[in-house]
Amino acid sequence: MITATAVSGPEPGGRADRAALVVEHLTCTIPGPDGSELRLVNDVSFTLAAGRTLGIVGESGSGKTMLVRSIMGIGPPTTSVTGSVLLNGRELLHLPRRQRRERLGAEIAMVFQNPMTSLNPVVTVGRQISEGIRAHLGLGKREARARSIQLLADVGIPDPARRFDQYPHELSGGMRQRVTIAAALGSDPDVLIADEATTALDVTVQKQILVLLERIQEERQMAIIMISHDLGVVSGRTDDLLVLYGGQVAEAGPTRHVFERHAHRYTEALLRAIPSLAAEPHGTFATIPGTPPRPVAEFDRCRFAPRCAHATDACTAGPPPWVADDGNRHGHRCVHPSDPAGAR
Amino acid sequence: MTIVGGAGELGSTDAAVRSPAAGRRRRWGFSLILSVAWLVLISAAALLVDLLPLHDYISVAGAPNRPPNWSAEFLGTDSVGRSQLSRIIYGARVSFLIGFCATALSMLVGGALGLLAAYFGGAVNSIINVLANTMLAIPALLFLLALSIALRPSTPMLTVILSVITVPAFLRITYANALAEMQKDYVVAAQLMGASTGRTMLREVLPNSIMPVLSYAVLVVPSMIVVEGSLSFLGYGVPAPQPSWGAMIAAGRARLTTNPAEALIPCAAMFLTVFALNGIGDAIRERYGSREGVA
Amino acid sequence: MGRLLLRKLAEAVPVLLLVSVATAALTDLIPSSPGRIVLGEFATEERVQEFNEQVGANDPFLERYWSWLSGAVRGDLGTSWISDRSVTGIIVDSLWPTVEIAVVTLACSLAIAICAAMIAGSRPTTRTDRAVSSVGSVLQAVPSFVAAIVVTRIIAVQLNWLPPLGWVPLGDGLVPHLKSLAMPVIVMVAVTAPLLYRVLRADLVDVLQQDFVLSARARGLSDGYVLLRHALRPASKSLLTLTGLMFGFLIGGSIIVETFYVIPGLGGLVARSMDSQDVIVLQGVVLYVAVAYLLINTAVDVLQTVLDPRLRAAT
Repeated sequence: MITATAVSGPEPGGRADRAALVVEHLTCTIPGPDGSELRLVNDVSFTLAAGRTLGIVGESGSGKTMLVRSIMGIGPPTTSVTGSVLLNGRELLHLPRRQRRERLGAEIAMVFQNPMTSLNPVVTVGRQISEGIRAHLGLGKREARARSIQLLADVGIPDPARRFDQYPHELSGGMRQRVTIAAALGSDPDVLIADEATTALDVTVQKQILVLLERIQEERQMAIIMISHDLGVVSGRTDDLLVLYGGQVAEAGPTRHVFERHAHRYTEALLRAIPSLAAEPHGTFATIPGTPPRPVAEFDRCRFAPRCAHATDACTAGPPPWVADDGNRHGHRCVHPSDPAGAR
Repeated sequence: MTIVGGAGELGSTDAAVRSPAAGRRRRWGFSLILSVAWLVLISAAALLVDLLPLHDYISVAGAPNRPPNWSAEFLGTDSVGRSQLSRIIYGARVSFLIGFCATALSMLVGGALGLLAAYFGGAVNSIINVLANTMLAIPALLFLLALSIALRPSTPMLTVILSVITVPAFLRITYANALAEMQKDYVVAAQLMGASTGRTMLREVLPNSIMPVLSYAVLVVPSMIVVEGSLSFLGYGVPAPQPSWGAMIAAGRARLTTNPAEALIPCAAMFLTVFALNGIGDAIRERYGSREGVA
Repeated sequence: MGRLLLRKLAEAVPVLLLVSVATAALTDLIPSSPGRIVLGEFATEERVQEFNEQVGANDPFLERYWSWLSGAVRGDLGTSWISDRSVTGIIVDSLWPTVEIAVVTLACSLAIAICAAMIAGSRPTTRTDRAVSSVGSVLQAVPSFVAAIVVTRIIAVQLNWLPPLGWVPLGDGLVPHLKSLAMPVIVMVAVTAPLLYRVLRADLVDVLQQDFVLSARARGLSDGYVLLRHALRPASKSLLTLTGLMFGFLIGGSIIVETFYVIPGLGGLVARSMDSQDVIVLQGVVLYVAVAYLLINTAVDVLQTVLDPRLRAAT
C-alpha cells in the first residue's frame, strides 16, 4: 500500500506543537451495484498541528466532503471507513457511539457550506448554539445563554442578546454563517473543519468570514482544515495544502511550495485555470477538459490520465507511486510531473 | 479493521452517495406479485362469471346459513341460502365498476376544472376554489348520505355522486401541476409563437401535468371502493338484489356469533382488493413520482 | 396571528353560506313532501298538506332558506319533523359520545403514530422500518366496517372480553363506560393511526436528511435529542394538517361505528335521521359539522404558524 503523508506541522527546528489531528490511511467505501466496494476516499494521510491551517482543494466529487465526514464519523450509514484518526492523540474512528458523541463538538467541530440549510429553521439561533454547550460543558440554561451571547459577539454579530432569540430566516446570509461558526466554537474545539464555509456567500462577505476564522484561530490556537474548490480562498490563508483528485491525494505540501513548485499535472491545471488580470483580454479561459471520475474499486492507474495533456502509457500501466521530497515535506503522485522551476 | 460508519445512527444519506445499490429494492416484491395475482383473479371472475358454472346471486343454492365447506357450496350460503361465492363475484363487479368509473369521472371533471382555474386564474380560480372548499367542508360520507336521501339509488347515480367527492382533490393536483408547468419556458415559447390558449393547455400543459394526476388516481380507486362499501353497509348503496360487499357484511353482522363466515368472507374480499390496489398504487406512484414528477 | 385568524375566518364565510344553501335545498330534493314522509302513505292528502304548511315546506325556497338561516345563526336549527324536539337540542344531546370517541381516538392515534414514525423513520429501509410500515399498510387497507366486524368477532364473541355493542354513559359507572368505549376506539384507531404514521414517517425521513440534522450530530448531540428537538417539529407540518382533516374522517367513521355498536352519538343520529327521512335534522347536522370542521381547520392553520416561525412573517 502506498503511503502518502503530508505533514502539516512545524517547520523543522520550530516549536514542538502537539499534533492535533493525525489521519492515516483513511479509506471510505460504499457498496457498488455489482457488490464491489467503491472507494470514495482512498488512503489519505496527513498530520495537522495546533494553530496551523490545512487546505484541501479539489473539484466536486473529489471526495473532500466525504473525507472530512468520515473523519468525524458522520458519513452516510452505507459507507465503511478504515484507517486511523488520532484526535488529540486518541483514536476517533473506532469509538462506540456515546464516546464519539462526547468528543464531537468538544474537540472537533465542523462548519457547513450552506448556512441556510445547516441551521434548523424552526429553532432559535441561540438554542442551536447553547444546546451544544449544555451537552458538552454541562452548563445550566442561564450560563449557557450568557456564553452563547458572548460567542455571538465574538463572531462579530451586533446586538447579540436580541439575536439569540431570533430565527435563522431573520438573519442575513453572512450573519447566519457567523452563527454556525459560533455554534461550532461553542464547546471550545481544538480542530475546526470549514467545509466550503464561504462558497455560498457573496465575495465581500466571504472575505469577512475568512478574516474572522483567522482571528479566532489566532486567539484559540485552533487547528483548521479549510476545504474549498476555490484556490483563491486557500492561497495565503493556509499553511499546507492537500490536493485531492478522485478520492486520492494528488499532491500535498506547504501551500507556497505547492503553488510555486507544483508537480502534479492536476495541480498545474488548477492553477492555470484561475482567471488572472494579467491575461490577454478576450482570451479563452483555460479549463480542464472532461469530467471528474466516478468512484472505482481499484486504484490501478493514474486517475487524472484521461484528462491530462501529458499522459502516456506509463500513466495507465499501474498505480502511480508517491514521490516524496521530504526535505520540503512536499509529495505528489504524478508520473510526469511538471517542474515550473526547471525546463519542462 | 473495517467499521461500518454510522450504522444504526440517524440516517443521513448524502445525495452524492446514493449509490445504485442502495436504491435498488426488489421491484417485484412478493406482496406485489400476490396483489396483482389477486386482482387478476377477481377481475377475471367478475368479468366471466356469467360463463362460469356457478349459481347466480338470486336463486337459492342450498340450505341457508351453511358455513364454507369444500364439497357443496364453496364459500357457504347466506341466510336465505344463496351462494356466497357467486355473490362475492357479482359484488366484485359492483365494486370495480363503481370504483373505476367514479375515479375516471372524477379525474375528468376535476382535471378539467383544475386546468381552467390554472389558465384563467383570477375570478374563475376564486369561484372554483370556493366551490371546492365547500365540498371539502362536509365529510364525504355525510355528504353522500345527504344526497342519497334525495336521489333514487342506482349504480349510475352512485357512480356520479361518488365521483363528486374527489373532484376537489383532482382539481387541486391538476391546478398545482398545471400552474407549475405554465411557468416553464416551453409554454411561454408556444404562446409567443402564436398558439391559442386552448391549444397551449391541451397540447403543451396537459400532457406534462398528467403523470402526477394519474398516479393519484390509482390510489383513489381503492378509496372509492371503500366508500361504496360504507354506503352499502349502511344500506344506501346499490339496491338489492344486486349484491355488494358492504351490504353482505352488514347482513352477516347479525350472524356474527353463529355463522361468522357470512360476514368474514366479504370482509376478506374487500380487504384483499383494497390492499392489492393500494400496493399497486404505491408502486406506481413511487416510479412516476407524484409531486416532483421525475420521470 | 390575529390578522391571519381574521383572514381565515373571512374566507370561511362564503363557504359556509354555500353549504347552508346546499343543505337547505335538500328539502326540495327529496322525492316526496315532508308531510307524506312523516305521516306515511295512508294519511289523507289534507293532513299531508296541513303538515306541509306547518313545516313551511310550501313556502318559496328563499323564504324558507332565510328563516332557517336566521334561526341557525341564533342557534335554532328548526324542529324535528318526527319527534317535535328542537334540532339543536337533539344534536347537543348526541354530541358527547361522538366527541369522546373522537378525542380518545385522536390522542391514541397520534401517540401511536408518533412513536412508530420515530422508530421507523429514524432507520429507513431497515428491517424495523419495513416491519412497522408493513403493519401500517395492512391496517390502511382495512375499512372501518371490516375492522369493526373482525374486532367484534375476536374480542366480543370469541374472547368475550367486552360487550358486543351498546353505550354506557360515564355517569353509570366508569368501568362499564370504558368497556363500551373500548371497541369503537380500537376500530377507529386502527383506521386512523396508519394514515398519520405514514405521513409523519415520510416527512421525518426527509427531515433527517437535511443538513441541519447532520450539523446537530456533528456537534455531538445525541440521536434521541436530535430526533425529538430538531427533527420532529419540522416534520410535523403535514401531520398537523392531516389531523385537521381527520375530523371529517372521524365523523364519517362515526356514522359507521356508531351504527355498528349502537351508540347514541352524532353518527348514529345521522343514520337514524336517514332511515326516518327526518331531513330537517339531517340539515342541522350537516351545517353543524361544516361549521365545526371549518373552525378546526382554521385553528390548524393558525397552529401551523406556531410550529414554523417562518410562516408568521407572511400574513
